[in-house]
Formats: sequence, C-alpha cells, structure tokens
Amino acid sequence: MNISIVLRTVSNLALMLAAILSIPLGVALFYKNYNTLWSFIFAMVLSGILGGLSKLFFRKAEAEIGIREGIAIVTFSWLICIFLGAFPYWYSGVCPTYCDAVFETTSGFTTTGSSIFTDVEILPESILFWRAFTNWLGGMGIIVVFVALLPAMGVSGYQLFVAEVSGPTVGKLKPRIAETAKALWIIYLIFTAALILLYLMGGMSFFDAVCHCFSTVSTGGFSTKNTSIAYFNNLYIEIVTAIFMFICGCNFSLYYQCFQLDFRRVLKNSELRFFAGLNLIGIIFVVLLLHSSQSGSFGSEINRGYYQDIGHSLRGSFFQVVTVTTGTGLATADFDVWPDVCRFFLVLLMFIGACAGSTGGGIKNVRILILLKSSMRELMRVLRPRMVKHVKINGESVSEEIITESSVFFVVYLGFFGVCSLALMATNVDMVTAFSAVSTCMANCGPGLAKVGPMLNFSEIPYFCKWILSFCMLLGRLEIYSFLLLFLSVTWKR
Amino acid sequence: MKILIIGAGAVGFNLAKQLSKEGHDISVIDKDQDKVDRIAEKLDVSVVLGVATSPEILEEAGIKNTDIVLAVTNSDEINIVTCILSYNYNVKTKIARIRNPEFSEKKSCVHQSGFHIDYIVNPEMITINSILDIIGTPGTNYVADFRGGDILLRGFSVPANAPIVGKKLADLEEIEYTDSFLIVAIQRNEEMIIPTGETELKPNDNIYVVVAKEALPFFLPMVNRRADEVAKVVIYGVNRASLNLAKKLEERKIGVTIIEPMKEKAEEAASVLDKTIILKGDALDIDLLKESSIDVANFFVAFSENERSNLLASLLAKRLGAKKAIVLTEDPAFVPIINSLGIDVVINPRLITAGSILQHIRRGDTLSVVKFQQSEAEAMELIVSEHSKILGKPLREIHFPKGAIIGAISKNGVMKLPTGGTIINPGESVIVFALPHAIEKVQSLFSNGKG
Repeated sequence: MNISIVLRTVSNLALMLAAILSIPLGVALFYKNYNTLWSFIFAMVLSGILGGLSKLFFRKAEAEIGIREGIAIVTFSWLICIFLGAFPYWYSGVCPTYCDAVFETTSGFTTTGSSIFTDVEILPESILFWRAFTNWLGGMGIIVVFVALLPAMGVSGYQLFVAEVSGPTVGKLKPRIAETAKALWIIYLIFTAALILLYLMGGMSFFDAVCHCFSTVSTGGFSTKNTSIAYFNNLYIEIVTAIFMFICGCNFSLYYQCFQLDFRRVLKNSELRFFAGLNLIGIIFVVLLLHSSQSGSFGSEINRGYYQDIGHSLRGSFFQVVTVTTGTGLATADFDVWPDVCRFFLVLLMFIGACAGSTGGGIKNVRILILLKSSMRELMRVLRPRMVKHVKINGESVSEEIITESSVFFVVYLGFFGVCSLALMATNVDMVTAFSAVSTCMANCGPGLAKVGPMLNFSEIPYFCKWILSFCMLLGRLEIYSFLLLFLSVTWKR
Repeated sequence: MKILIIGAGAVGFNLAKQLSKEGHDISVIDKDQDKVDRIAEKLDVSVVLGVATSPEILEEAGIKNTDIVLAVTNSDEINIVTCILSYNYNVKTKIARIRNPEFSEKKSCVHQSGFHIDYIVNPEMITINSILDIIGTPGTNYVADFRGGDILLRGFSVPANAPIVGKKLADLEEIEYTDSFLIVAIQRNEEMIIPTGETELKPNDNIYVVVAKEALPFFLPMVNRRADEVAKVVIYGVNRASLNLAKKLEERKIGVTIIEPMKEKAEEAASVLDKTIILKGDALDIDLLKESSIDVANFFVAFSENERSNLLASLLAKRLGAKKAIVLTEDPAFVPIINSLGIDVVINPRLITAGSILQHIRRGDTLSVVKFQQSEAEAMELIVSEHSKILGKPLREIHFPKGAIIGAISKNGVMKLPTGGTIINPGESVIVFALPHAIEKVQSLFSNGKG
C-alpha cells in the first residue's frame, strides 16, 4: 500500500470538509447562534490545517490508486469526516463528551439517525442544521461528492467508487466515473428540491422543511422535533415523507434510466419489484396483526383505542414499515408498544434494508433476492443433481462469484451482529435493547426496541457501547468489506 | 421459366428435382465436382462447376435470361452476394437461404434495403415452426400450412375408439362441429384413397384433414385428442434452433427440459432460458432420462448433432414412456429408415427448406404445393383464373377428376368448406388435394379454358 498517495487524497477531502463546514457556519450567523459559531470556525480551521499540512507534506506523492489504496482512502475519508465533523457538537457543549459527539456524527454521516439527544427542540438551529446536513451528505456518499467535485481523479475514481458502494449492481451510468457521480448528485438534488417544496406546501416552516427533507431523501432520520414526524400529525406530510423514503430506498440508476425514458427496463427490474413487494406484504402483515390484536394486551396507545379502526392501523403501519425497510428512522408511532410479532418483524425488515445503489442501508434487497433464488436452486438440485441452472436478476444470469459474495456478506453481517450484540450485553444492556440497537445501527436505520425505541434515544447507553455502535454504523454503511479489509494485514502487505 | 440454383447440396438437389419435373429449365452452380457430377447424372438439368460469386460463372450458367435465382448454399455470405449480383443482371425473383437470424428477422437491414433479396428462407425458423405445429396439434403425424398458417392440413392416425370410426363420411354430420373440417384423404395400408361420401372410416386409418386454424381445437376430439394436452417436452441437444424452440414453448406455458452433454452449452442454455430445466448429461443415460421425467413427457425432440445418439435416445425415450418422439436428421436418405423404426416424426431441415422455397416460387396460378411423406400425392393451393372451366357452376355439376378433391376455398382471408352447391368465383384460392395421376387434370381445370 502506498500510504502517501492515500494521505494526499484524504488531505483533499479534509480541505473539502473545511469548505463544507462554512454552510452550517452561515446558518449559525443567520440565526445568530453565536455560541456555536466558534465551534464551527474551530472545526473549519482544524480540518483546514490538517488538510493543508498533509497536502503540503505529501504533495510529491505520485502513484496509481489501486484496490488497496481505494479501500484505505474511502475508510480514512469517512473516519476523518466523522472525527472532524464531531467537533462542533463537542466544542459547543451540546454533547457532554467527545464520544457522544462521535456517535452523533457517525449516526449522521452513515444516515442512521440514532441520536443521543434527549431533547432536540432546545438545540440551536445551526446544530440541528448540521445534523440534517451530515445526513444529506452521507446519503449519497462522501466519496461520491468527492469524485463528482474533483474530476481530475480520472480512472482512479472508479476504485474509490467501488470501495464505497460495494453492492452487486454498481453500474457506471456514463462512460466517465466523474460524470456518473455528477449524474447521481443531480438526481439527488432534484429529489431534495422537490421534497422541500412539497413540505412547504404541507405547512412546515422553511427550516423544518429543509432539515426534514435532508433526513428523508438521505434515508437518515434526524428530526428537529422530539417526536419526529408525529409532531406534525399531518397525513399529507406522512404520505409525502413515506413516498420519498421509498423513492430514495430504490436504486438511483433506475431514475437515470427513467430520465432516458427507458421505462420498460425500470419496470422489469427484479430488485425494485422485490422491494415494492416486500413493502406491500410488510404493510399488510403489520396492519392485520395490529388490527386483530386484542386491546389491553399491550401498550397504552392501543388501550386508548388508537389502532381500533383499520384506517389508523394502516396509517401507522404504512409509515413505520417504509421507514424501517428504507432504513430512515423517522417515526410517526411508537412501534415499541406494538405486539411482539410486529416488533420482531420490523427488526427483520431492518436486516433486509433497502436496494443496492440507494441511500438506504441493510443487507440490501438484491443480495436477499440472490440468496433466496440460489437457495431455491440448491433445494431443486437435491431432486435433480445434474441440473444446470443460473440465478437470474433482471433476466440476466448472475455470476457464481456474486452469489458467493452475497452469501459471504450475509454470514459476515450476521457474525458481526452476533458479536456486537454480545459485547453490548456484556455491559449489562438488556437483550432486546442490545440486539435491536446493533441491528438498527448496522442497517443504518435509527430506532430500535425497548430502551432505544422510536420515541427514546441512545443517551442512556454506556460509552463503551456507543463506540461499538458507532463502529457498527460505519461497518454497515461501507458494506463491511472496505472497512473490514483495512484491519487485515493482507491489505497492508504487498 | 428459367431457374438458376446456386448450391447442389440436399436443398439444391431436391429443388432441382422437383422444378425440372414441373417443366422448368434448371441450371445448377456448385463448386464441388462430386455434387455437380451427381446432379448431372440423375437429373435433366444443366450444371456449371464454379463459385457463384464470380460473374463469369454466373454468365456461363446463363444468368442473363434467368427468371429466378435460388441461392441455397451453406454460406449466408455467398447466397447474399449472389443475390446482389443477380440484381445487376435484372433477375426478377431472388430467394436466399440464410441461417443467421440477424439477417433473416423481419426487422433486419436485409428487409429494409440493400441486398436485393426478395425472400429469405431460414432453415432453423422453418424447422422450429414445423415442430411447433406438430406439438400444437397433439396426435398429428403430418403438418402443412396454407395461406400463411390460417388454413391447416393435418394428418392423424384414427384410434379404434374414436367417435368417427365406423362412420361413412356422409354420416359425419350427426356429430357436432363436423362442419368445420374436411377429410381430404385417407391412407389405408400404404394406399392413398380420396374419399367420397360413401367411404367408411376404419381404425388405424391415417386421415388427412383440412381445417381452419381457429377450428382445430374442435376437431381434435374426433381423434380423441385435446388441444391443451401437451404439458411437457424434453429436448436433447443445445443449439440455436433448440434454444429458440424452448423459448417458444416457454411462451406457450409448456414445461421444457433440455438434456445437453457439454457443460458450456448447458451453461449457455441456462443463461438464455428462464423456466426450462437444464440437465447436464447424455440422453443415452437411462437415469438421466428418468430424472427428466421422460415418463410423463408428451414429446421427446432429438436435436443434437450426433445422428446416432438422436436415434438411440429417441428409441430409449419412447421405451421409457415418452408419448412421441421427433428426430432431426441432416441426411434426407435417413428419413424413411428412421420412420420405419417407430419414430413418430422425422424432420430433415433441408427437405423442409426446399419445400418452403417451392412455396415461394409458385407464383401465378399455383400458390403452393406440399408433398406427402411417402406418396407422390400433392396438396396445392391454386388461384382461380377468370377463364377457368369450373366457374359459375355448382361443384356437383362439374366433372371433377377422380383422385382429386377440393379441400377448402378461401377469399380475403375467410375460409369456407366446399359443399355440392358451392360455386367458385374468380380470384378465390382453392386448396386441392390430388393423387399423382390427377394432378395435371386439376391444373388444367383451374387454369384458363383452353387448357
């Protein structure tokens, strides 16, 4: 591994971060949050100095960026963004410790949406904006921003691109990688602008509209209200939010095909069909369970007859299922008080997550689909040992390597889930809280069950666990491989 | 007419044989000395040794006053180039045998412009279509289509317990739907009979029926069959044609299993086909055949390049319970031999290619002719000319030759079955079924009055 070229590239990113930090600084000036003003300036100066120094020091580094360097650059970039991006929270004093600040920033950039704030409504606007903005930046991917803004990266940009979005269906939309990154960002910007308008039409204030839009299109989940979307108690806003969460949970290359009027290919997309089907079945399943459950057996909202009529059950389950499958984490109801079968079902949906190439998290629908199909194939093979059969996605054969990749990903994912849950339980966190917190962080979803439920937060979790959960979030966002390989000696040796 | 045939292989030979018998002047060009010698020995045609892409050779074969060029060599490229050259010699009709579907598909550049080919005949497409016809008509042992597939001629063996057994043709009216089909010939113990109203149907007769495409499902119960009874087809061998066939069968919701010994070909099939089950192995392996549920298969289609395996696998498949076996053979000489071994349908792509080209060149009075398997009997589609002797009179008053029968009359795409009172009008097309001795009489009846 050529460490100097890695640091040189990362130094560019640190300088870019310094520039980006000027946006929340502007917000702080606008809202006259003078006490947080200095924290943003401090973070800007720090990243400027770090970036400038290492750029100066490694300015002569010239080497090709290979797979190893790509992995290192991507992971280091994320770490730099998280550690520098945490400074405003810490320096301004809204987070009591640096650990809390790192957790909050990781949760932001990885679009998880888990928070350590018990009361977000008392936070200054600039901090609220910075939370939503980290969501928005992380949604499309820091590296995608980087590649789009620095087209001089050229061919090597591809290695970075693949290292950050390692899903099975990463396709170059355009011949040049920088053009591809730009195309993705243009689509992202269009969605953002459209949603801000729709929120304003729904009666949100401009600040709330922008912040909620950032956390919706990025499938992040940070809200400016303690009760999240439920605060507005507005069916229109719920429907618009759910639709945009779904849209951003689908593969972005589909929208590129839409712009090219290639609708037939979009409709034939196996993953989209599977994802839509999964959401539909999930909603119906949860509605039926909610509706058929006897009142009084669980939760206070049920006792009040909140879910007694089918309309409310539908409204509640529709939003909650979409928020969980897309890994957003905005909430309109406390699903922690729902029957156990619903709670566990939602955790399972977290594992599956959204589509590859989207802003959502989880194992990804396409991997699940490949695994289901190849499992079917193995079952059939018992009956017909000499059968030759290909697993097909979008009508095309999937190579055996990708099937292996998906199975390995699945196993490693579950392995980390198990180990991290154990680590949490070792610090006396109860079982439901522990496993749901780990699964929600790995899937970049947001809310868990029990003590980390949708209406609660992560402030009571021990510090050791917060570090583990931050690790889980980044692991899930970088789809394990890039992050994990950095800790293996084979990546560093020649 | 003067017809120039390029290529003296099986297709060219059969075309030359048939067309010279019909009284056309035939020249044949081929680069292979043996083939040229053979054709000169057996047929009354003129031959030229050489490559047809050379204008000198074409001129030697008399291209300057040729009416029709049939380019039927193995090579698509030679066929295309020959047709382009022929255009420059002002040949009116140019027909090419082209295998590559990129050229022969309707959308291809060949159809749009450029190559000056009037008709493209794709042997694979024809083979697939005739197999699909057979599979689409359960129980049939002979298929031919007229009017682009709207009027069907089908052969059936009559089971002993069929509703039509023991009935005279005139009495068939008692059964429902008999007004939608017409039995035009009966093959009984190697003898071809043109039936009259008094002819009685016996078990194990081979009957030939003219029926409209829509009415086929109603006819099938007469021979104890159902249109939807084909549920499973096993195909042996992967190639472009068999993959196409499997795809078409998938579209018809018929279960398909493909057996292929070569790993790469099996993988290719797996990537192209969706629902088809692909088994890697040899069709001569009894366990593998059983694994393919051969015992419930309606058809076993042997498509592989290996003629011997095709034949053996089909016999094995029938022994293990496949209802019918279809075998492809490249050598026309094998057709009668394989037939005699108990294989239900033998298909020779070259013979049916020749047949399809013949259909194209019979412009004028005769639209198309199909030959019957062993006998020399013909089914022809004729256009009624304005001077024909049979105009204006009901059929029962016409002295129609013995050994010939009118199967169907069609006008503007509507088909009707003839009765004694039917009057034929000019411009209509008529499907006539005739034994060899009656063919000429029929042709003179339909052509102008002087003949």
